[in-house]
Amino acid sequence: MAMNKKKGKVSLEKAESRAAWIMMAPAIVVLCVIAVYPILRTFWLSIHEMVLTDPASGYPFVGVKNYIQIFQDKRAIASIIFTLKFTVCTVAFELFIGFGAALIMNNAFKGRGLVRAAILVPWAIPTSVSALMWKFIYNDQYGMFNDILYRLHIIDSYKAWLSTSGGSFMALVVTDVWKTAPFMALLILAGLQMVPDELYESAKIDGANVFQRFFSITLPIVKGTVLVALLFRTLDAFRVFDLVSVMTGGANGTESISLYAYNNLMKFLDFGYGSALAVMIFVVVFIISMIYMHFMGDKLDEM
Amino acid sequence: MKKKVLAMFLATTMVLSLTACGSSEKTPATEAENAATEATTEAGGETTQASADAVTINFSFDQGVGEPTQKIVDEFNDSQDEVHVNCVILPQDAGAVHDDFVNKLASEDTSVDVMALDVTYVAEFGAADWLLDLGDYFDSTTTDQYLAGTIEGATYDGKLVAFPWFTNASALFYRSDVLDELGVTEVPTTYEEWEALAEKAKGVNGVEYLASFQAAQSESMVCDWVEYLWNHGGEVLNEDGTPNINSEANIKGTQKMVDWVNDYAPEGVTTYTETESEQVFLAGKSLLIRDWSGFWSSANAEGSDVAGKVGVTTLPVGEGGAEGHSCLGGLDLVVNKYIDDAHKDAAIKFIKYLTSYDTEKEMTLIAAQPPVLKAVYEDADILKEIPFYADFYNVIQGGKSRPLSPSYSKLSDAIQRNVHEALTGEVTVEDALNALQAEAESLQ
Amino acid sequence: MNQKNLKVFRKILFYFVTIAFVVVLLLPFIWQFLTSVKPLNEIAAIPAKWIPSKINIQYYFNVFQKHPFGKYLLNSLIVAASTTVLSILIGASAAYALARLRFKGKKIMLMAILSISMFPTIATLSPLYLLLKKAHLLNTYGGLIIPYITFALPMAIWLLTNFFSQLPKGFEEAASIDGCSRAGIFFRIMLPLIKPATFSVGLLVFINAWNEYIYALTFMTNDNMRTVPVGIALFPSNYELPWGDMAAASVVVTVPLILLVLIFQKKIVAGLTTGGIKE
Repeated sequence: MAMNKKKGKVSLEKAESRAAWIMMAPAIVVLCVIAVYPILRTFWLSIHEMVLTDPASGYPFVGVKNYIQIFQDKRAIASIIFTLKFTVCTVAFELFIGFGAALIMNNAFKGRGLVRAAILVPWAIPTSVSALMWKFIYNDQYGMFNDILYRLHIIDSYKAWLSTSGGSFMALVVTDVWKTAPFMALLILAGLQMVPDELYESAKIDGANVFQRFFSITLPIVKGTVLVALLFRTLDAFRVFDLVSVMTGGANGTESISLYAYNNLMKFLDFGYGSALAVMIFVVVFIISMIYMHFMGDKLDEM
Repeated sequence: MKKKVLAMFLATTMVLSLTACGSSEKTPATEAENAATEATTEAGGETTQASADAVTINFSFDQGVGEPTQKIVDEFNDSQDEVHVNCVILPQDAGAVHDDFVNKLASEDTSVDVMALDVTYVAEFGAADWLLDLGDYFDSTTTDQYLAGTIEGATYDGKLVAFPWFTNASALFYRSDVLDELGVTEVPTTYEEWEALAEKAKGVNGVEYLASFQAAQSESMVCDWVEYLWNHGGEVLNEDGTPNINSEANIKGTQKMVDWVNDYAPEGVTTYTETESEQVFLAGKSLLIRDWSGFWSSANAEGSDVAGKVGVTTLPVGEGGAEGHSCLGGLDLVVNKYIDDAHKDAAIKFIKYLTSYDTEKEMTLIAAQPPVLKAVYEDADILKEIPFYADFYNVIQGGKSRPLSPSYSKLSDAIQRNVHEALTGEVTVEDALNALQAEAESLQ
Repeated sequence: MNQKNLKVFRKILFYFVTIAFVVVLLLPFIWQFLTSVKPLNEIAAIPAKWIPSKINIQYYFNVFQKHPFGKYLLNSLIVAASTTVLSILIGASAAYALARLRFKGKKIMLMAILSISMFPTIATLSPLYLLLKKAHLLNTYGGLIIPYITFALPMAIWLLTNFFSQLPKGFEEAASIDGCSRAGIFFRIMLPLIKPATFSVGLLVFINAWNEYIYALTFMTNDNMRTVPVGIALFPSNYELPWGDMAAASVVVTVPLILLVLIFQKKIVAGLTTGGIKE
């Protein structure tokens, strides 16, 4: 009897495992067909010396030379530091604002539908347009940003925000937060929707105040969603490219690591070094992901 | 049972994805039939038009000159039936265009045959060995009819790897109404003479600044900067091609640019490329602007507050400079090396058409781009339409090119970073030029 | 009485904060909208001018008359909608397996999927171009949809896995006792349960695909196949930066998305109370 039961369990697990692989198959096929080749090719290029304007070199294998070069390249180091600063600042503000917005939208009130639609507007404007639009907004002559601050008497004359390194950093962070906080808000809202109302009701009856309810009920339930949303925002923020390229072109110490990799790849046609930088981005992002995975810890095991 | 259902589910998803792609592929195909000009861009090499024996070639250029070029291409297609040209238009952004061409050429793609390439990239593409040598198709009696500087710029390593299409030169546009108001009859010719007007002009007809120009960290700033150097008697490279950046004259020229940024231009000028600088001038806020010759038409167009009040002159000269040199730009026509002979011949035929007298003339008239064929500057219709072209020929003859080198992108990048730091006051002019010199030497 | 006052006060405060928040958020868009109806010489007026002296709708005509913008919109719609539907189907199926079925190597699988999102887009551009060229997918909808799905899947799978895993355990057992097959459980029970989350994820995937620029620019060279962001990028020429046209175009492309959200409103927010997990 016991034997039989065990055997049954094993075959059940087997069946379940097989079902799982079948259900994942379409995703695996798509990912392998499209994503694997570009990634492998980038790795391959990164261990070769390949400057396209020098075909005579024969593009020799150079091992880790390009990687060593990164650590000797002050500009690469500076761009990594800038990118880390940018990532931490934007993600922190996005989390804060996104959470606030999600809590607001989770309430029942008149006009809630409109607020939910409105909050998506920044995310919905194509980046190529919104980066240009914000450049326009920060203009020192006719920009809206100056106009508003001037009218509110916060500044006494129009400023050229993008001409200093502090101003440029601020401008980039504001623009990115404005654009992507809705992403955070929408996902956290989706997480909040999963919290059954009864939990709040019973906590209320137990006399828990707003903050207690937030920390003991809301937070534990949305934690997983928030971490996943944070993870993806971090990955995107660390790879920031369009925004910087349009708004400052990397001036005033705002060259992001993706922009620098792009410059090496497409502008200098140094495919070897540019690919090494791309792999470098991959490695840093991978480490960041591992840290998130660590925080998700038990959450992930539940998955 | 369960498995079967699951497999069915899987099959449905797959089929769904297949049909979604399959049906969507049909749409462009039908589109293609409608647009008779369609060529399959993936296999340009094999495609010919079904209706005639014409060879179809793809011509890629940017929206900057999109409309006029489209018109000229249509005229070419109507004029003969051996070659059919299909337009592949890219956004007006020299960087994006460059990247698109690099992507295609580096993968030996044959989806484009002829490309309009910014003159600064010709040496780079030549070095990468992507371009067809046009020397066999154009002899020296032909090339002699074109501006010498543009032919030189189209030559790499002794080979004619490109053919000039049109050039571009900068000029100084000023508010003639303000000069009249101030009683200035002789248009200033030096930086100092202009500076002397700065205070007086303030407040006259809305003027707040002396000058507007391009000082954002970008290729446009490089053009402005080399002009400051040349007009103070400086040069970026020695005759032998070695960098000579921290010379006396270059320091003087760069210092003048820094002074103009600090004292004579809007605070935000270090964030301006052409667009932003033009808006200041068009709103009537600055007495003068350094810009490309084509700005003449926008300055007088609808939406401009200064239409009819604009004069144009040569760039100012500084201490140590002999004359005001303009920075030359423009587009060259290049042919993809990887296409087959039939397409190469068709491409040459098309390039000969584009650079012929009549086409160059038409392009000048409809696109306000300075031609590369010398004779066009003497054409009566042109002089009637754009009177300042009589003097402009000399501006272009006196114009200079940015350094022609396969590693120009790197040099330009180093200039942009170091000079911009000097302009924003992060470092002194001397330090910036010393650092730039060191970087330029490492590129040798 | 006091209690009532406090309640009213809190309500007012809530609305005040909410309205202030929405206004700040929308300010750039409002500016963009005002720009799209300003006369030409007021767009870059110095100092900035908020209210146009007269309403000018010319730019909206320009958008559709000077450019095949209707075609761009249609292309974007086809590409973004197909990407969304397929990503959700493929993603939800994988996510369900990852969240609710037992098998070995889950963590590695999740990490491998995530790593697809770790490469800078620019490094994938030229190899993908080669790949799509070989598959004859350049200038086809499939040539954009397939890469878009690929780069949407990691986010979709991770988020959906997370939502699936939040559903109470033992659900499937109950269902299978009721005689539901596994596919039945997935389609008829589990998928509807996470519907609000699915709509949110779908919306994000849709907007990402709707706004993508660099692949669309590189893989679609034929003007008939261009999408909206590339179409707008093609507006400026040497002679003008048609800021009014671009503002009008960005209003035109944003409105459908707002409508989409309003239409699916109920679905996005239909809480679990209607989902039937209540116990």
